[in-house]
Amino acid sequence: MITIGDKARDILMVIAALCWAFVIYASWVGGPAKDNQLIYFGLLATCVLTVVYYMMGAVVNEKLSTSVLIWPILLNGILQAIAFTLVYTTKGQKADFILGMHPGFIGAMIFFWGGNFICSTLSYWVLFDKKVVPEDEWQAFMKEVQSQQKIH
Amino acid sequence: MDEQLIQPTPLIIGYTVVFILVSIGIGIYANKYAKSAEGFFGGTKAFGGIVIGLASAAAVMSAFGFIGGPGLVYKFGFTSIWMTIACGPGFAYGYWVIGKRMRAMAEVTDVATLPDIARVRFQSQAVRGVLAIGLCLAAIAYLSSQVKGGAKLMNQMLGVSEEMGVVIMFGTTLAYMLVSGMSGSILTDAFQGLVMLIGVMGVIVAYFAMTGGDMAVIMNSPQFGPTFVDGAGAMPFQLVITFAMVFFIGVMGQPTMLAKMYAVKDHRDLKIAGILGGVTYGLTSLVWILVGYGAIWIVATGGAPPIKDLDKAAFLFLSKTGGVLQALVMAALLAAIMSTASFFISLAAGNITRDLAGAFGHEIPIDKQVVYGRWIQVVVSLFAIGFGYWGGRAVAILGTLGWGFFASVTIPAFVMGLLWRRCSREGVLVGLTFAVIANIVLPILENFKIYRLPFPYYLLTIGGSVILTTVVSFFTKSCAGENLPEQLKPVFKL
Repeated sequence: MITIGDKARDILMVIAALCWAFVIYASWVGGPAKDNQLIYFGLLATCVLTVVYYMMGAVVNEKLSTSVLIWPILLNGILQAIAFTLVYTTKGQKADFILGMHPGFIGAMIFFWGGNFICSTLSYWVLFDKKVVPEDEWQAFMKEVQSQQKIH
Repeated sequence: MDEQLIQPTPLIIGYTVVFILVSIGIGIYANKYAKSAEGFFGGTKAFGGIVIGLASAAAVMSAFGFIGGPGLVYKFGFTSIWMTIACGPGFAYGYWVIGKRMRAMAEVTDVATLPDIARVRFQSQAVRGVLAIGLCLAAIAYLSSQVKGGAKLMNQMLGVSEEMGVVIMFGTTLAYMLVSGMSGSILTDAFQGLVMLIGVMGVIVAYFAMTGGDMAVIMNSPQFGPTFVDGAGAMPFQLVITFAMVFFIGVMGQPTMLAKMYAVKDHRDLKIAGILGGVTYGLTSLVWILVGYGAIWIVATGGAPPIKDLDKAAFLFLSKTGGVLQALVMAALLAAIMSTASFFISLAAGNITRDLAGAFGHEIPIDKQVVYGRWIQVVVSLFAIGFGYWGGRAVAILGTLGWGFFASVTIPAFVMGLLWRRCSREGVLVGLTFAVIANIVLPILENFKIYRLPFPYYLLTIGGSVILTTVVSFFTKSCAGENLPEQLKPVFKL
């Protein structure tokens, strides 16, 4: 278990803001200059952003399970990075098809689409009861809420 | 009237009429959930996970995905597909990140609209008002994007003029929205999601039967080439960043999803809602992909001359399929448009009736809100039709406008507001104000050819609002950290 308290969230929010800033910079400068490498780094920054928000959302009562950190969180970022790398390195090239698909197409469809589904949808299904909304945590929340008046 | 690529057969017309009648019937039935303001504007805590999952996917997938999307694939190859492949898995990602906290807010306060949550979180009528303005403008923009697509669809489906098509489509939608508001929207959206799924199955079969999955012919075609089969496409490469990020992370900033998170009856329903929403959307996104590539394949193999109107790509593909399939897919297209339209009519009406009036100090009595809301739905629809039909912007462009606008106001207010105790009232107010102004100014600068960013401007509006909210929150304290209202503190423990 990793503790993600208020200080850690402050740091994660700063990292997120920096990622957004870098992504805007990479698009703004890399686009007109046709600097695909800078744009590629911008794409990698989006992987970091995915991981950062995931970490904050997957915390339950200030604790983040180590297994959840590995899968789905970090694996999601890694699969996205592989997808972007394949797309970047094969962009616009006439290449041998693999399984009837261009390698860049495989990067996008298999690693990004499929990988994201495995790391978000499948993990949400498998881990919902124990890691996403544990029943005891929800009941503790309801108990606390019922002891107070609704806020308006 | 446009070139008729599809012949309106009795089967297509009959299936469409049945679809419309069932939608109206379900909408009227949903009135039992819409007796209160919370039910009429939010469908709050009323539905199970299956209904919410299907409804979320149906509302997110719109005319843009079914008509504009394939057109962009036809013109630019893979680039636009990043939007739709990011969006499907983004559903469960969004539920992972803020699903439980959005649902939890419905336990600590009375929620009918999204600005209700923002007002309570930040204890501010100003936040509520600015958010409502942002949501309302974006809803009307998004709604307008459905008008053109719907008009073209009805023209191809029924052979009626585009103007008559708009009257039929919006008249039907309003017929049940007036009775049951957001509850009607959610329940009919779930049915329409099912209709979309049936259409998707037809598209998958038709695509592979027609093309055999052969993309080599596209790569070797002099008209198209490798950029039409790779993973980046023919649009500028930096657009992949925007599309991949804004449409993956940005899904959780879409009201079509956020508002559903508090509409689930029980917290356990979040599970099915997140899974089913993502899987359903993922399947429907195959229409965007396969229909687009199908149209390219037809032209690349000489099956049809190149098309100039990109919105016709979907109809070109369908014109090469059989009558039954055409009926199924056309109804799915109509379902996509009506489900999105009904949601945004309700969203805008709720924001005006409940939030804008309240933010300006004229809180409409609870028992009158539903009555006023009904009338405002009519006004919103008429305004959106006028703007969308005679506004002159393409369906695809308007669709992306709405999406980015939403994310730029909801990510600071809800994602940051509910994930980060330190997120302050001043911070979110600065972020939201920037987002609303920038989302209006930047497209004006583009339209007048004064300045155009080398990427979709909404990347700047979303990123800018997040950065400003973060920076200002570090230097201000209202409703943040220890100043958070006591009743909200349990939400942050979940």
